[in-house]
Amino acid sequence: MLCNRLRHLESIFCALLIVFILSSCSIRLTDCAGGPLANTEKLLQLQQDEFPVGAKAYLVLPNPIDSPKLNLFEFSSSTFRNAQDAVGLPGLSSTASLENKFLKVRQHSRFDSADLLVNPQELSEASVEVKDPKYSQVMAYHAITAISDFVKSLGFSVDQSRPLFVMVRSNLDPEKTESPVGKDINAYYVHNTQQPQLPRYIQLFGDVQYPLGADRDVFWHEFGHLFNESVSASKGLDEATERGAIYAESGALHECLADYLAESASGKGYIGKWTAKNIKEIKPGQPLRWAVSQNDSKNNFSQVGTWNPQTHGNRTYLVGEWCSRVLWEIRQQFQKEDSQTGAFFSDRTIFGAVALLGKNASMSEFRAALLESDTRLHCGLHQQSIRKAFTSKGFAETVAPLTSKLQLQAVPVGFNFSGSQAIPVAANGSAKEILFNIQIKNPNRASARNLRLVIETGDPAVVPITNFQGFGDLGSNATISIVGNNYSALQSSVSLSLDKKHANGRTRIPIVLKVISENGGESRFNLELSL
Amino acid sequence: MRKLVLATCFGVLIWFRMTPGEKQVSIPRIAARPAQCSTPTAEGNRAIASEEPRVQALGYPDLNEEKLRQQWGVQDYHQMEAEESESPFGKTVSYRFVQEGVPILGMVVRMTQNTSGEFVEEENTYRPIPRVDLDIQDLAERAEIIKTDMDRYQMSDLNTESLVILVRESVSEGELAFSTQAIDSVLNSKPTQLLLRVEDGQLLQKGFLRAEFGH
Ligand SMILES: [Zn+2]
Repeated sequence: MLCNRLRHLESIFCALLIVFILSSCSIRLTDCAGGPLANTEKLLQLQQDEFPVGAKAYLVLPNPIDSPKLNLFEFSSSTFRNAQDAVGLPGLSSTASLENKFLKVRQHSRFDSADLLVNPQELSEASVEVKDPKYSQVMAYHAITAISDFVKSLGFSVDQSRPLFVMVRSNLDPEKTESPVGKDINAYYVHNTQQPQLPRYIQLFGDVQYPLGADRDVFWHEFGHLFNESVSASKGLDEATERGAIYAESGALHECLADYLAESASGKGYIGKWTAKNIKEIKPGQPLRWAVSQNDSKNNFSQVGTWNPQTHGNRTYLVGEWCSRVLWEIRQQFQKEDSQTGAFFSDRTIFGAVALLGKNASMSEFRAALLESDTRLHCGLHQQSIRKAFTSKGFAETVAPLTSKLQLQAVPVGFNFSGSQAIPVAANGSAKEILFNIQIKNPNRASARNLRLVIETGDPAVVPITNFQGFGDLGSNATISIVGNNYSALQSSVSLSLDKKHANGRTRIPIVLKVISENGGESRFNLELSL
Repeated sequence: MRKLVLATCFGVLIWFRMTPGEKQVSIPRIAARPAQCSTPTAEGNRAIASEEPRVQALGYPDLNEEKLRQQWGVQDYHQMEAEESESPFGKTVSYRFVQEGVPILGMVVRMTQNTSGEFVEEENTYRPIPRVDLDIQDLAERAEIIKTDMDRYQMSDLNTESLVILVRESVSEGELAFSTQAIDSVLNSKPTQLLLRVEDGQLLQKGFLRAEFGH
């Protein structure tokens, strides 16, 4: 009898516990859906390559290699023409070029003559030859309007406070018609943070066999950079790269998110198969980067994120690709929940996290922001999946603290310049720029997580030029060494200029360099420079 | 039986810590409002706080420019320009400042909406710096001297259109500078952006572009 009563009490306790869990933060499962999407129909249309609104143009989507209608790498003009789909170009507002109030498509510069530009009345003629820059102009307008609609339908705005000029075969300086056309294959997104009077740019370079402008992935990725800045309200999400850092986790994050936007919107799980045809280091048929995990070293953070002088210049993209694989795994979890719209909810949670980030965000901060975004939108129902996506790819939740300080040595090297020559000079007030030879050693048994070198200054006589460099994780007893007096090689270090105007009569100016990592070991190096 | 009841109870608890996929539950698509069950974790707060300076949170139900000017002590010669961005968590409004049409770099007030829809200051670096003299008689001459002195760069035109005012934390006044595109011949024609003080050509800031292949 007593036993029965006890069991009864346990059942009541259990029921009360469940009620308590459900009511503790007023959770109803409907509250955990993150709210409806702004325009699900538009999102689905884009995924199915349907763009019915606006003047009709013809394009091979998303590019000639990934098009289901063109599966040969080599193709004639007639097969190319036959593979084109009709797409609508909404909102055109000029009769002389492809543009609206926000987006302006050009060939070389902002001030191109009319003959270089696609006249909207002749749209069907603009798309007969993949190497024709006018074909790239049509793709640019289509791609950017489509992806803008996509992110707006997810519930985000796009910063349109300045126009966006897209140059499909850009001059080095797009403000000048006489500036040389860039020859080397490349693509830039330029936010013009320090030139508020200028618009934003997407610049594509290289008159190559597989023009970047024929690949929608390229525009979606470049737009992704603008979108990252929009969502984060231009807080300086990756100020480090804008100020010359060769590597920063924030730079890798910027690339990761730009890739993820293009990969998720297209549903392909990789980016740049067409563009990769121009790059001899990439095996035939392989894309620039994969979000879907491959049998390679980029599934493990320690393989991509650990200091290695040989790969340092490319670390931004190695870590960026690794990060896009983490995001792809999170996306797959959302897709399990709803195969039709799960990916859109995943996109919203991921880009929602970007809105929560601050200046020069790190991967750890991004992971925390993802958890927070999921908490706010989905009651934290994906916490375990998010954590697992990071840990399963080698990004540990916790790292052992460093018990000994990191060891930092620095020697300044001055430079003056004459034409294209950088001339090493004494590191004092007569030098135009002062860079630093540096050696950083981790004497600990544990790795130093996300090691960074910064110039710590509040001195008005010190003008930091590149005041932040990231080096990735530094292994036990490993050393970073950046030495010599080669100006190009020293771009991996920090740099400054001395400002005599604000020296206030002093002849010696104190400088502090600081090395920091996420698990401690911070140390400073003090020196003085003569004016 | 007793053990079974307790185990079931714990099972329910653990079940609630799991992800929906693992529970085979699909996320409902319709909700009346975004979830408000957001108690940020300590870990989250610590990490997200980053290196941003935080200011006292003051709630504003709406953004009335006159009231904001008074609140922040914005000088008459500083005009405010607002930029808005929106995410599922609400709006962020960033105010930048301009003096007689010349943009000021280094001062911003950023307001974000909290869960009750009120705007709170997330960042405020506005300072009532003195008015900067924009009437430079020999501007063109100075521009030429600067260009000649820095012949490693191929610069855009330096004129009144390219002027900005830079506010540095350690300097009490705004500094008038040319802001220019510059192709750097020392670094293999790398495009950069420079801020050069009008008074003497001192480099005040250098900007680098986000290039996809190689640095
Ligand atoms: Zn990029």
